[in-house]
Amino acid sequence: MFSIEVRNLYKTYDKTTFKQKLANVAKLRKPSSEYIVALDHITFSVRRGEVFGFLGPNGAGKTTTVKILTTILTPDSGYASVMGYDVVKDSLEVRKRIGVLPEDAMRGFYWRLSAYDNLYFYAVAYEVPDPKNRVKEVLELVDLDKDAWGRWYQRLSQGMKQKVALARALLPDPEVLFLDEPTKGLDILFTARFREMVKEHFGDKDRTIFLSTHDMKLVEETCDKVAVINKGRVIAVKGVEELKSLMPLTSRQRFRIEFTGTPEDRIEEFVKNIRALSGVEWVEKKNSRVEYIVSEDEVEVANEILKLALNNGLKIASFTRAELDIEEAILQLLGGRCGS
Amino acid sequence: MGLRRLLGFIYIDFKEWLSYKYELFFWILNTLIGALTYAYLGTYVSIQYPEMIAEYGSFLSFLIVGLAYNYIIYASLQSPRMAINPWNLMWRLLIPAQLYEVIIGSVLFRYILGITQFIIYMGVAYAFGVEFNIDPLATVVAIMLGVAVMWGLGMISAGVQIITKRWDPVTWFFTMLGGFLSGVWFPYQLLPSTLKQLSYIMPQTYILEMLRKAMLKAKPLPELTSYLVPLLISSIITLSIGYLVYLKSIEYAKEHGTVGEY
Repeated sequence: MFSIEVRNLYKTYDKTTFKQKLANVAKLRKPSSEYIVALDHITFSVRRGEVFGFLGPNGAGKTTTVKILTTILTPDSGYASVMGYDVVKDSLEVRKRIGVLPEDAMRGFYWRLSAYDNLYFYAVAYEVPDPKNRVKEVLELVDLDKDAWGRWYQRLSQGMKQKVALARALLPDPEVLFLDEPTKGLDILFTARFREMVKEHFGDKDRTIFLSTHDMKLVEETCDKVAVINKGRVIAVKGVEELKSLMPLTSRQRFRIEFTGTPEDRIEEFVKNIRALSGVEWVEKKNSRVEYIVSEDEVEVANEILKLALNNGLKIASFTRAELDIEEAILQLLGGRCGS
Repeated sequence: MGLRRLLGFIYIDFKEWLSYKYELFFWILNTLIGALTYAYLGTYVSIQYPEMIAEYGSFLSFLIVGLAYNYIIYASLQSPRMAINPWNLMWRLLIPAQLYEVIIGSVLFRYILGITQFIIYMGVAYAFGVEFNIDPLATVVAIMLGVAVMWGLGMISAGVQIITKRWDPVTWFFTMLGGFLSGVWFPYQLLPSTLKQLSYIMPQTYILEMLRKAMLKAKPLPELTSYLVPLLISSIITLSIGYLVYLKSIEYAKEHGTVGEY
């Protein structure tokens, strides 16, 4: 069963300024509007119990998608459902089944009340059974220090505020949890703990997690599947390993040489020489490190390059195939340069 | 409607109100000073038109009903806008409840405060010798109709503000003109004849007149039909339009992606 289904979802924003609208009225012109396409007929689905990463650069359409799925934005056309309920027609049923940690998570809190009181209010508003105990449970789950429970929300640190916001998202024990940039502002200890919690689905393996983030380590370690979105279009929906394999061949044939005790000018000379070799597609020098991509027989080219280095008296500290991570795979998909 | 959920709203608003210790102190002080001021005004200050006031018993009796209007009924105009504003709209909309439940829950505490303040004023007025001659049914109906009309207008106001974020012409209009034209602080009959015509189109005029007759003259409902009918019609119209405007504004904000903006 799918927890989330998105079919052909399309959303535009009117970017006509107030000034333009006034000018239209003043000149008695037929109103004309300019639109930005935020989502261009996107389609994907998320299985029950999956941790689903949703990645893309700023302005790609991630937040728009999250807002539609959490019922606070209406799409222009297309269909989206959460746990089988249409996000437009059955928005109340959807809201009963989701927990949300939005990017701007601090809104909606009473800043002059304690973390505990805030969560107690939401527990009652969400009609959570045994609200007092549930609040304690979620505060313990997110590792908020006990002495901070009674502190005013506005006096908590950025990371603590984020923990309270995460606790609010977990309060109704949701079937689907939407997390938008969840590790923003968190210290490294809690970020590591957070990764563990996501892996454990916050105590329920049936819980689906929709994770929109820039934290690639979080994605690599926790996600079952990843969708990459750019300019309103989903350009890939793959497993993490599968996504890496999508890298073009040239990107996977990338090597790195690290020199030691070698003057800069001699490394530059070396770079010039390997650029002239046939089969070398791309070379880049960063301090005492040189990276290159080959398009032909990698072993033969590597031998040539090593010979060239040794003949020129360069001291090699290491010679490795460059490790590719998901970030680079995504950069490639988005048309960015490998190694940038 | 979930009673527990409504109590949750009251709980959080009460706790937040209590957290402003100085405001709490001045709220009590203001209420007492205000009550004593009106009591003094009503008891000792002579006015130029005693024959008009005689109808209401005394100027203080007249004022007390004005205060009832101000703290309970007029508060309804501002409640929807203040309770669900652009800052918290997104989180209110994420609560898995019907919209009306969230709206009612969000404003209940304001009514509790308003009623408390009014009771204090009544107590002070009673101590200064005001005699209430109340028809309970007519009073409750007058208050309910007044609240309904103001709620309708308040929903229009809140709806407009969801789109404009700040500018709110409805509250502005009724705040600026209501107090002056409708007889909150002095009888509207004292107005020049041109302005008096305007007061007839303000719903507050009918609310206040009906309330004063019910609270001070014990007039039963059958004798108040000249106020009851226009108020009934106004409340149906304003509530329907208000709810529609509010729903449409939320739809507009959801379509334009401005729910989280303020």
